[in-house]
Amino acid sequence: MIFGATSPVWFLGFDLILELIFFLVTGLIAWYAYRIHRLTGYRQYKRWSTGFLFVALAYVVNALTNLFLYFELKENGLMVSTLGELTRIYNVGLLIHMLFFLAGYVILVFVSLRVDDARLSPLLLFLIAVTALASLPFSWVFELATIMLFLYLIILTAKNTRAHRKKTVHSSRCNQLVIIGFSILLLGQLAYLFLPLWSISYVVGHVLELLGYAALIASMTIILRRK
Amino acid sequence: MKKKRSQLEVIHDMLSSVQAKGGRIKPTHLMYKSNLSYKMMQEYLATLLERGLLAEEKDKDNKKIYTITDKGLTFLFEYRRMTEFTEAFGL
Repeated sequence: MIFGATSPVWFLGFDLILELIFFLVTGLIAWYAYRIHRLTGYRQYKRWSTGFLFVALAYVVNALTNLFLYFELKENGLMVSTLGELTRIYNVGLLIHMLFFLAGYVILVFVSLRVDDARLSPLLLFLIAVTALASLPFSWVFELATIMLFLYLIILTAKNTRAHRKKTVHSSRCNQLVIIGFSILLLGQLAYLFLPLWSISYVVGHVLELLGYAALIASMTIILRRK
Repeated sequence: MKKKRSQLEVIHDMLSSVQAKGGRIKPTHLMYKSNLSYKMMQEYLATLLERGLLAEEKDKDNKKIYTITDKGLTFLFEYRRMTEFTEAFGL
């Protein structure tokens, strides 16, 4: 699978910008969670920060891979002699992206589940690696895995927030935005599921991801602007 | 029935008590003001001292007093945002 086969030609370049936006949003959440960890010392914030950092790195890897391929194709065009090499580079980038993305969201789900057992790490790493490797020839494996992770995140976020004692108007609105954000991200992954059938799914997936992360950044903006 | 306070809330209550007393407080006052048992207070004090949110000093009678640090003041300033972040993401 070579890039371009997944994206409509007119969308090339836009996806790169969107991926950088996703990196900035997830990076901001990772930074703020780490800031709370520095102040309080509580591990769940550090783990939450690590989860979002991995997701941010996943988008950087994706953007860098696409950027390299755009320039390579712009310079040399699509030649049969370099097709194999470009596909290899694309697959390596895709594999690293999937590993970071899955690891990030698995960490977020486990923090939400309040599971903190280091003995699970090797098993999870193995499952993440197997899922990512299986996703190279069958991209639906990755999409189904991420849909499942988002489903867990949505349910757990709603459940955990209900358990909090004090709820201000602001935090309820922020919580709703977070749940809406994760739900739209789930729909985005659902759209990517149809990528082998329609290349427009790539655009729909990216737009939905943009809306999902817009909801998350709206929530973060309300929180950070609070005095 | 009232739910248990979260760890962040307990830390906030303790630091607020110190701040309300002008930034310095005796251990017994801290215990009453923050509504904690002696055992719980000792546990939280150890955590706050370790994380640099409070500092231990001696008064002129050589008795322990606790003072709020700059990091502790930052915690109080950030508390609202931190709780909203925690509630928003269901942490």
